[in-house]
Amino acid sequence: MFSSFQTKLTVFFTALFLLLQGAAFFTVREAIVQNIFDQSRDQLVAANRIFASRIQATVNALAEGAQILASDFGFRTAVATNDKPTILSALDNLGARISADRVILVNLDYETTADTGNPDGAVTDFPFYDLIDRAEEEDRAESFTVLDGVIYEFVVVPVLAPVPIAWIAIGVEIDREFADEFRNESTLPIDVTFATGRYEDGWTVAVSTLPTQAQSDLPGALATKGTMLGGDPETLVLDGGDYVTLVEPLQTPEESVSVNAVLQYSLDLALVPYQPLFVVLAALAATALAVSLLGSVAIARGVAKPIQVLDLAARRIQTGTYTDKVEVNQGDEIGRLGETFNQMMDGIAEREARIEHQSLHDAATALPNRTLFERSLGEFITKDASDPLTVLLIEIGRVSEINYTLGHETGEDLIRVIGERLASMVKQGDMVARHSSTMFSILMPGAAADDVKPIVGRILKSFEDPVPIAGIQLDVTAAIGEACHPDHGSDAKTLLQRADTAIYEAKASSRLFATYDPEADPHTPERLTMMGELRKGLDRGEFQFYYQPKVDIAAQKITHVEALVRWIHPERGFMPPDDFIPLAEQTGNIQKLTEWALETAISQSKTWKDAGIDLIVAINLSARDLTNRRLPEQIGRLLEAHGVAAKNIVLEITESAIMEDKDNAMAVLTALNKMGHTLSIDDYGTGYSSMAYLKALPVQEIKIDKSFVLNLASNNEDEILVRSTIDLGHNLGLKVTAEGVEDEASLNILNKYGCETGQGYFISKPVPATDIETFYRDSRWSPDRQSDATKDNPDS
Amino acid sequence: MLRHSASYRAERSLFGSIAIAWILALATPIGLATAADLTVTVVDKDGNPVSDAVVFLIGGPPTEPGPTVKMVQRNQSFNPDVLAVSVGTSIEFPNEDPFRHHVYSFSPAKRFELKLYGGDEVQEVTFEQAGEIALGCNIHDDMLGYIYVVDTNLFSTTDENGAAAIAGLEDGSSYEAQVWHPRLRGPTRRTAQSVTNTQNATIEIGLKRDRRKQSGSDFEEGVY
Repeated sequence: MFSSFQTKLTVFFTALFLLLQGAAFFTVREAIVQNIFDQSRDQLVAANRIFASRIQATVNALAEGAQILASDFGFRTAVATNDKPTILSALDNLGARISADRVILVNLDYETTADTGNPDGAVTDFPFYDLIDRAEEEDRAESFTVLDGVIYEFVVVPVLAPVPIAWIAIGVEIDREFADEFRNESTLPIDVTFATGRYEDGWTVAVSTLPTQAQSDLPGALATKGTMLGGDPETLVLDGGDYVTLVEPLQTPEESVSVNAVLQYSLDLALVPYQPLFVVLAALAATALAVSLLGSVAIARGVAKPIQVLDLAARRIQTGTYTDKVEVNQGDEIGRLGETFNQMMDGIAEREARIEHQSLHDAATALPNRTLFERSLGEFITKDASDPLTVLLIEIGRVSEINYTLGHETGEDLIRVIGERLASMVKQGDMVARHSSTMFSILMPGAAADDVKPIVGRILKSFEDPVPIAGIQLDVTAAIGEACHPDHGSDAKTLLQRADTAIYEAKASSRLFATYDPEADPHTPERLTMMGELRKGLDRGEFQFYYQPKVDIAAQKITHVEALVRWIHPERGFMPPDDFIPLAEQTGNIQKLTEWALETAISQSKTWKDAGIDLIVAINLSARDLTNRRLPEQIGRLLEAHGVAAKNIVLEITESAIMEDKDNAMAVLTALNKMGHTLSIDDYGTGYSSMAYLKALPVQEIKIDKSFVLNLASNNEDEILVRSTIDLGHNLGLKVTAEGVEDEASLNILNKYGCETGQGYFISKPVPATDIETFYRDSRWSPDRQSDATKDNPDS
Repeated sequence: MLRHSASYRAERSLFGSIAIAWILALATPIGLATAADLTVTVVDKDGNPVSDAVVFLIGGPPTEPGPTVKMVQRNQSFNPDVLAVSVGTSIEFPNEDPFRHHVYSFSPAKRFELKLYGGDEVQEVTFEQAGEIALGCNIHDDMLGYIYVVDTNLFSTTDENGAAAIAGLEDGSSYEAQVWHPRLRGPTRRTAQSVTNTQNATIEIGLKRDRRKQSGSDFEEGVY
């Protein structure tokens, strides 16, 4: 109910004013009432004196009249002679003359001998002896009495002849008329009540000027007060009204029921003249209350309104809106608070923007990061699903190598420079982002696949020049994958993944650029199905090795075979290794294939050995195999199991496989070399051939890629390359094998340059193991046909 | 509350302010009867002498009317205040004031009225019945006098010293002495005491307030 500050403030001030106004009003009223009460007390005391003197005057008049009669000789004669009719008529006459209500003649024996109130009555005892005795002592006695249930003020005087011979008791009735007269003659409307009876037994109201209900309440009200006889005036509540009350006991003879006068002044009546004052006071209080209410509302609003504005502003800040400024145009603390709020909003907005920028940008290049790139990409796609859009992923090669050799700082500098370059090459509206530590991404909205060719060309061309970093010219390579919306995907994730796949393709191709090709994507459902089949195929024996002989060129004899995997799919038939090896490498199935290959090849080596066929078997290891540190142990177990010496197994690895994870690769290769294996670099010349690495690697042989050898006989450049490569290998202490020997001329050239080993269709295509035995024994390259060698060689 | 009793009221005299005292004089008759005097002194409770008290003895010879005596009206008052006479005695009421009086009595012992009379008229009334008679004047309310009629010839009225000398007692006899006074207190209004002629007696009586003391009458000068 009082939740709002404004309400609290208003309620507080209103309550405060109400309290003060109420206190003031009641204080004034109480003072007036008290004043009236005091005045009333004085008035009552005065009225009591007036009452007493009035009674005294009445008594004096009665006594005077009675004494006149008592001294009348005729009357005395009548009394002396007990002439009752005369006495009665004289008494009646007296009563009428001085307005007495009752005249009684009492003889010396206290007997009523004549009574105007009971003219025909017999002689009875006069009840108030005390009154007679006092009259005898003092010539006159007066008292209130209750006679026949009526209150009288009686005066008793003697009839002297000349000594007392009788008593005249003369009285006036204290009736309503008497009371009314008294009330009317008072300066204030003072009510008078005559009550009879004993105080402690409760009084009987005999005569009263009070209203009827107040009369009935009086005895009870008196009883609650305890005795008030002759005391100070007090307030009694009669019929809901306050009466200042004075109780005056009246003198009565001992024989009479006591009589009391109760003088009362109604405070309600007394307050009547003050009612206009109270009305004015109440009106003043109400006006003041209304004004204070309005004032406190106004003040509360003045205080609360800016707070409400600030409250709203704080809520806006909570929801992240910082643009709406607080408008508190006050010069006070609240105004300053408003300004602080605005500054705070600016500060928060700035910091938030900075944090957001940081969270969405790369610190080194200040380019958008992957998160922002993906978000923007998603937004562009959502904005117009039909609009073409192209995503390029650019992987920078050699970065880890540079980090390793020149330090991360240099690496980051390189990345920054490349980022700047890329950013300067794209057109307005394109986005360049740092995608990962070695990758950049470019978003080109509105561009179809063909539209990006020029820029791709420019980017690739830019990598042909070395990048100068810290005084060093760094050679950097880049591979670019491209994916287009909507052809290659309809969401950011898919597009990026496909561009990534395209990079894989790009790296494999000489152009270093590839557009996503669903056919080459190992992640297509079709290819994933194939991986499942690959695992099943291994179990079902669908895989087998074909072996391609490698010959000692100089000796013209077979010395090695390279084991090449063949998968005869039950439905698709022959599966080329290029179709499933990379796939198996990417999906993790290569390990199982490797297990099979090692087992099969080593087992075959043993079989041949047992058969007297002395051939060294070469097995290809994949990049993934080189990351498996347990591989040397695994091979060792197999060799032991089959009783094959390590020197009989050559392991071929590609340069790129080593580079993928050079630390692990180095460890694995070193271990294998120690075991006694000959290690051979396969496809030499196609990858990122590095002299430094070649020197560091524990290899004993390089295999010149077939692309250099195929046209060796006809291409002069190839011949130079091959020759220098052979020389390089020899200079590094490595043996050299040439792949792709397809004619004798090439073989002769290789022989001329000192290349130790040759392999190719000219010698033999890969054949099943059983055919190797025949080849070993019967072909021109058979070691057994030593003598024929020269004869069969047309060049020699 | 004794005074509420019927017996108390029965004893009340019509002459409310006047009471009679009894004096019991116990005299022992001896051989030769010779005349002797007796003085009785009346005092109040405080021992002050009481004047105008009538002292009379019961037990004497048969009563005979005395010589005519006077109750004089002078200076608007009766003189003497109290006049004691024996049964059958006549009293004259001479008016010595220059104006007239209207003397009356409503007392049961003798009711009479001497209508307006002056100094030139001689009024005489004979009192045959013993008892007290209050005298008033109808035109002068303040006048009050008492005549006390006794049924004996042995009586006297006390003087300023409270002394009443009674002569003619039979020597050696004893009498009942009674005292009456207009203001004598008590239900019997008389005091009785035995007395002998050889021994003067003092009788103490209780008196009520003198109602007339402020009236200017010489009666108020009664001994207190």
